[in-house]
Amino acid sequence: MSIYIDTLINGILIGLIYSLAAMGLALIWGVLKVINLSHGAFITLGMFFAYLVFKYFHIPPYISVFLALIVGFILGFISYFIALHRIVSKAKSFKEYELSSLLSTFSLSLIITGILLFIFATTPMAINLPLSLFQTKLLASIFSIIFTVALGLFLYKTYLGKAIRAVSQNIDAAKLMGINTTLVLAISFALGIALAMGAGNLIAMVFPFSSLSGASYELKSFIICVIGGLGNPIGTIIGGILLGLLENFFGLFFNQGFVPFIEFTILILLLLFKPKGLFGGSK
Amino acid sequence: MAILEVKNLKAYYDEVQILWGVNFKVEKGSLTTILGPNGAGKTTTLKAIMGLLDKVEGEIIFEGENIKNLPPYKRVERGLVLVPEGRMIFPELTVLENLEIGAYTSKARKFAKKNLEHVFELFPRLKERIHQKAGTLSGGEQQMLAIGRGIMACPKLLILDEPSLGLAPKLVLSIFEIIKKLKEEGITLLLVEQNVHLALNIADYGYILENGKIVDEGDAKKLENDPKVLEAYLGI
Ligand SMILES: Nc1ncnc2c1ncn2[C@@H]1O[C@H](COP(=O)(O)OP(=O)(O)O)[C@@H](O)[C@H]1O
Ligand SMILES: [Mg+2]
Repeated sequence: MSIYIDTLINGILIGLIYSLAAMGLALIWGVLKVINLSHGAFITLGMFFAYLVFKYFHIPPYISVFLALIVGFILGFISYFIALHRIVSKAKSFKEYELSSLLSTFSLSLIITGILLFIFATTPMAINLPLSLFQTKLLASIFSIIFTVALGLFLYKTYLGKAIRAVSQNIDAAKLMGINTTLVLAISFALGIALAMGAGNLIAMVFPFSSLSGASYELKSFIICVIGGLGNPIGTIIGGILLGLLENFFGLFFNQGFVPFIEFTILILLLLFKPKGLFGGSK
Repeated sequence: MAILEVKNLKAYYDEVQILWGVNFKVEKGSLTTILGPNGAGKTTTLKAIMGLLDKVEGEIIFEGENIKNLPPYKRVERGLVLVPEGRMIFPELTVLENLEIGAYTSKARKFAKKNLEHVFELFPRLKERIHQKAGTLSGGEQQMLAIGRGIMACPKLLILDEPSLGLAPKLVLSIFEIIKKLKEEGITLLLVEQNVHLALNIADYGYILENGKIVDEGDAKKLENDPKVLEAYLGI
């Protein structure tokens, strides 16, 4: 019996961590209508950030995560203007940049991954904290909840947050409200990247990683977005927990190596039969 | 004094020219109307004024300054506010959130509380639905919300693009009552309408736009009796 309870708890904790990673993807997808293919690369960057800051400054990940958010925000803000601004602002509708935004965010991902591979190759890394695996999971998931709540409050309670939601629904109408939509798009992208790096930072506390680890978390983020929809942080949390539970319970009975196969299968089935998310997210 | 003066305005969608040198003025404190058949370029004119189009030539003088090269949000900050055709409310935001977003500029935020009361006075229906998602409102209520959102922005010039479009006759009349009330409160208005008779009835001055050009203008009373206008729009 206790193994099931263990699996349940583990699944929920891991799911919460996944959902933080997915939040960044959902925010960018929902507001900019861009599927950010550099999401996984920024998650990896967050992992290495945690690693290096711990190695050289002895700052543990549960503190450096705040720095990772700030660095992620700045990098995201700059990346928006380098990689996306020109194609997004010229377009009359997001349909026009569906393809080009995939290409430009994929290029971003190649650049980041290329640099990481150049410096660190694919050597596996881990951060050794004087904490048990369960403790690190618990800590990371508590942070995930805090950041999710903070994001929710920001989006629903502040003028800027409401402006972000307005832009996601109708960008021309948002302009007519006096919203600087270019700034809002840049901030949304920056927030999405900050969340990706923050999530990577926390994941590095729990699991070992390498220069290529981000890809699997990117896939998980996609699945969570498809399960939870892009409408609000709650859907993302539920999606994350469902995926975490599924993976962990699946791992009880089968080889872990099958997990990506199962994940892809879920993704395809969802896209075929429930393209708006299990909970019918708004977009 | 004219609060808005549009000179020789030309506008294009990609390579297709839609406006061919439009000239008109809106006097401070007046209600000016632009009338014209479907596809004449009325909405295009308003979009050009707000800065929503890529290719625009000519001058758009607002309070004595050419604002043609300002981004839309800066025009709104100056008090140029459009209630767009088709309402364009934010369907997933609540009624209250839509109104709050209407008061996004720093100046409008200062007056948000007072303006909100005013909007609820004009549209008690909105107050009843304050926490409802705007997408669940009826067409008439959405139009009220769109106008309310415009009022929240503290407009120096409030532009309305076909506010009565698609509404039942009774609602059309009540929307015109509201516009009249706004005029009496001293708000400068520019009204684009298909309802020629109703528009000329409350307007001070009118322009007729056809095929991207102003073809006629005059006092509303004069236009109402203009045989050309009568023939073209009232089917008399
Ligand atoms: N987004 C657009 N792209 C291309 N042509 C457009 C677009 N919007 C309007 N038009 C064309 O511009 C002309 C004027 O349209 P519009 O300004 O909407 O007229 P009105 O508001 O007077 O009915 C029409 O011929 C219309 O087909
Ligand atoms: Mg029109």
